[in-house]
Amino acid sequence: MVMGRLGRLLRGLLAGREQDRELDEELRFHLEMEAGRAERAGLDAGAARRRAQLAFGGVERFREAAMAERAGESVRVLARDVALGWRALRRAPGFTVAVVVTLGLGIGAATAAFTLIDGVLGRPLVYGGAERLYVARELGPRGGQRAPSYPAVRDWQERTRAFESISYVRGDEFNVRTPEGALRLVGGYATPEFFRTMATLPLLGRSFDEPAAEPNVVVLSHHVWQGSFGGASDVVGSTLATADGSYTVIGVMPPGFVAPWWADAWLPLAALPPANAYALAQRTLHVDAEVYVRTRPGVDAAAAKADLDRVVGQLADEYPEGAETWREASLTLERDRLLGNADGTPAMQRPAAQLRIMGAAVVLLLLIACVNVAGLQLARGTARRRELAVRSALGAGRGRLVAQLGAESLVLAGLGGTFGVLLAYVTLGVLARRFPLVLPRLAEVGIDARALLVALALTMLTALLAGLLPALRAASAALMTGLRERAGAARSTLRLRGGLVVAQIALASILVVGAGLLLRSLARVQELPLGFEPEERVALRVFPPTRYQQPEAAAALYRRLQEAVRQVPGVVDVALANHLPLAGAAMPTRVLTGRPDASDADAAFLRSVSPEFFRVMGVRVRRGRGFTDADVGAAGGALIVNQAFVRRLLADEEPIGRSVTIFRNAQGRSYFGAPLSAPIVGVVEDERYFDVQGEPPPMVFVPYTAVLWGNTYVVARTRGAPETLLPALRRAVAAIDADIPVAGPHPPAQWRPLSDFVAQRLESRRLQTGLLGGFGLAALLLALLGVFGVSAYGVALRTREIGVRIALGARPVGVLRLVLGHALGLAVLGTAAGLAAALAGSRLLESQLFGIPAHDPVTLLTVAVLFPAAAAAAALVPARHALRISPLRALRSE
Amino acid sequence: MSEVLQGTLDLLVLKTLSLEAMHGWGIAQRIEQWSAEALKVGQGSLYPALRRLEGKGWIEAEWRVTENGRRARYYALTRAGRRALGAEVASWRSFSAAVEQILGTT
Repeated sequence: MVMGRLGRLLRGLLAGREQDRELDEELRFHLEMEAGRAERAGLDAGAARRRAQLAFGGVERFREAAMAERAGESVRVLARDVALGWRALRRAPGFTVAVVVTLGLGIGAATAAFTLIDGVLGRPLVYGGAERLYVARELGPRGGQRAPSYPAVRDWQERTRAFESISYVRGDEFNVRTPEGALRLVGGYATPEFFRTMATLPLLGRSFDEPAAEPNVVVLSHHVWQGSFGGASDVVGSTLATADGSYTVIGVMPPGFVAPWWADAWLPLAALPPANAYALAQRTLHVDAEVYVRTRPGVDAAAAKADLDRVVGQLADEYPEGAETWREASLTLERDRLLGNADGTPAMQRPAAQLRIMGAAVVLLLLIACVNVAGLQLARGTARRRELAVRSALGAGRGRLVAQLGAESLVLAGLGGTFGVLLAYVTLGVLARRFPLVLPRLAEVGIDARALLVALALTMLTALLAGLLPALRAASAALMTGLRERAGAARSTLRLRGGLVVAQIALASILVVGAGLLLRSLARVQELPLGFEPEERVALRVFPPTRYQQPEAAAALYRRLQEAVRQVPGVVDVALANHLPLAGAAMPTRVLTGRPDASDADAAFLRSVSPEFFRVMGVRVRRGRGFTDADVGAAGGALIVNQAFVRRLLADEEPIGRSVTIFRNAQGRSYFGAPLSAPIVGVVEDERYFDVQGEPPPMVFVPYTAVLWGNTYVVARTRGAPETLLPALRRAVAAIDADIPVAGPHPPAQWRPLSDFVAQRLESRRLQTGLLGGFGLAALLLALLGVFGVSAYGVALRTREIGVRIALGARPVGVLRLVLGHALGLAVLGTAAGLAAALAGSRLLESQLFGIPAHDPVTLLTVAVLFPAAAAAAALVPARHALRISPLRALRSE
Repeated sequence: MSEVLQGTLDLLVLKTLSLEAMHGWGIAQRIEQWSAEALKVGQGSLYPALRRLEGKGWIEAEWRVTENGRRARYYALTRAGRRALGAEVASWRSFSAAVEQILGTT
């Protein structure tokens, strides 16, 4: 029984086409017989047929009813409507492509934005129980933070009660020998509790958790596994050779495991190189490290902090040296820190703020796409009025017409949605590859089932938004007016399309205002003086192998490097420096100025540079002199400071000749932390140091031999763009020692143009501006298309009226005013609404702006003029058309 | 002239076809004639009914040529249709008798 019914259903579906034809023939036969009878009754042939049709009650409606009886009919009706829609669309390829591209852009942008927002902010972290995972630091006076020393962390482990586990990770380099040269990785040297604290299983192999059981093992991060080991699954069990021994790869962590963010691989703390291990053991050193802690279930943040504060206080009493004012702990949820929600993250860099803006922009774009497509469908509905009227006269009900147009719109949205998902997929891939650092967690983001579901929902929504109104309208117009057009209906269509254009212009002007504000901010940021010349400069950070640990050996290596690079053809001059501006690293030193208002918070960043540095970098010497070769290795010493130093630490008093004390904070050196008193001999221009728009911090420069760094930047000034010199530069370094890394996932381990450093700092701002600018431009173009369409329709509609006016002697100006006035009116209305909305919503953008207010009058005025002017321009073509209307033809046309 | 009730149309069609195979137009004509033009078969319900009965397996259709040389779709009663007609007639009789009784009592 069930099988029989199923069989009929299937037969019904399959045999549908054949049955359609049979039914058609059968109905024709019936109609003819009916007409024949009427004719015999005395009517003429035409009247007989009409009467037959009348008696028949409309072939179409009746056909539908007959077919609806068949098994599986509703499915088939939909399928047939869709097929019909597809055929209709294939007859109008221009319209179809325009709609699919527009919807695709809207749906694609929205899908990509959803995937990003969901992936970055919504998804749980890879760490299990992330709500109990914190980063702990010591809290000092005025909110200052520092890493606890390793001995202190050991005490924390023993004395606290609120924590399930406490782990410590110290960074050091881990240089792997490869056939292509040394690969520099940064290792996270971790205590055995680390992986348990993070509660994350490895993707491949295993991690380590036994104290000191196996020092020579390494766990790789996902990005290094992919980037440097080609994602090979047999990497587990392989051996990595370094200058200090070999290590066995025991596992690979999943993407998104970025603790700490700089770690390329994890090794047991016992594998730490001896010099670093020595620093680790010092309770007073507070070398940089990450401390991850997991609270016990049920212990809240306040209780955990109280428990830790108690222990930190005890330790400050027991070991008071350098700890008197550091009696508290700070606990930050790892999730907040990763997502930039933690206190202290500048609003500009908070992903939530950036993603919110992007979300708002794509919603606007999607709405514009829908409105645009609704306008296109209305226009097409008008053009198809006769076709629809014929169908309606043949008895297709209003519901049938709407269903049919709806199916067409569903086909369009489906195509647009497919295109959109492809677009989102490609866009996200490019984003993650080209700009991996603009957002946290980008490596984890990807189109998945949830994103596809959202795309599907968006597709349905756009089909409804963009298709329903035009379908209802076209169907009722077809029913109302029958086979003859009526001016009234056309006029109301014109009004409706005008309304859509107003909405489109309003939405577009909001986007363009946002893009304009960001563009002006970017221009302001780019106008800022950098304080150095990035063009025609190239730099490599050299991390010497451990055999150059002694200061004499290191200094000799640096001199040889400088000389070898100077010999490379195309290199003009070469300098050495411990840190470069905009490269991310800095080492602070306390500064004793001896001034009455000096405070123990007086600090500057310590820059250890060779005499060529200011010349090579293009940093101008403002007062006094730069370093000379005589300063290198000299006993007396000399210091150079920047303008910010004079302003902030010396209250703008005469700096030259004044002696100040700084501390020789070069890690790994025996003199680490020893004071150095010397006179200031020069003042140099401020460099933008941490980012392009921030205030330059105070700097103090010393000759590189006075505080010899464990690694060094070699920076070269070149003739012309430095990109072509990179291979020669790499060879020059490798010729000195093949163990010096010239590759690695961290940018400073490669020769890089200095202009890249600047570009990277502006990357996020440029990307955001470019994105919003692109959206704004697309929105503007769509709006102008809308204006063009509605103007052309208006002219077509008023052909007769315009013809009469011309015949009555209207001057061209009058006709132009008629057409352009209409377009201008729409544009002014839309722009006014858009600007009002933009003013109300501009607070959203405020955190991303620089140097201009959120209600920047220049931007607002530009948009207020731009849109009406562009709308008038778009209406020019229809207006010229109107001018050429011949009165005679116009009068005949209706 | 009143439209044939939806449910009774099936019965009338089966009855008509119990005499001879016939095309759709013929069925409509025959019902109107039999009822002395008191009943009108809305064509909008005739063809759906034919499809419905065909779907139930009570009638079957084949294309034949009419006496005027036109192709037409002829319907004929199946064995199951003949059985169903008996049952339908019986149930119609008891139904109409019940209605008659109610109408008669008031």
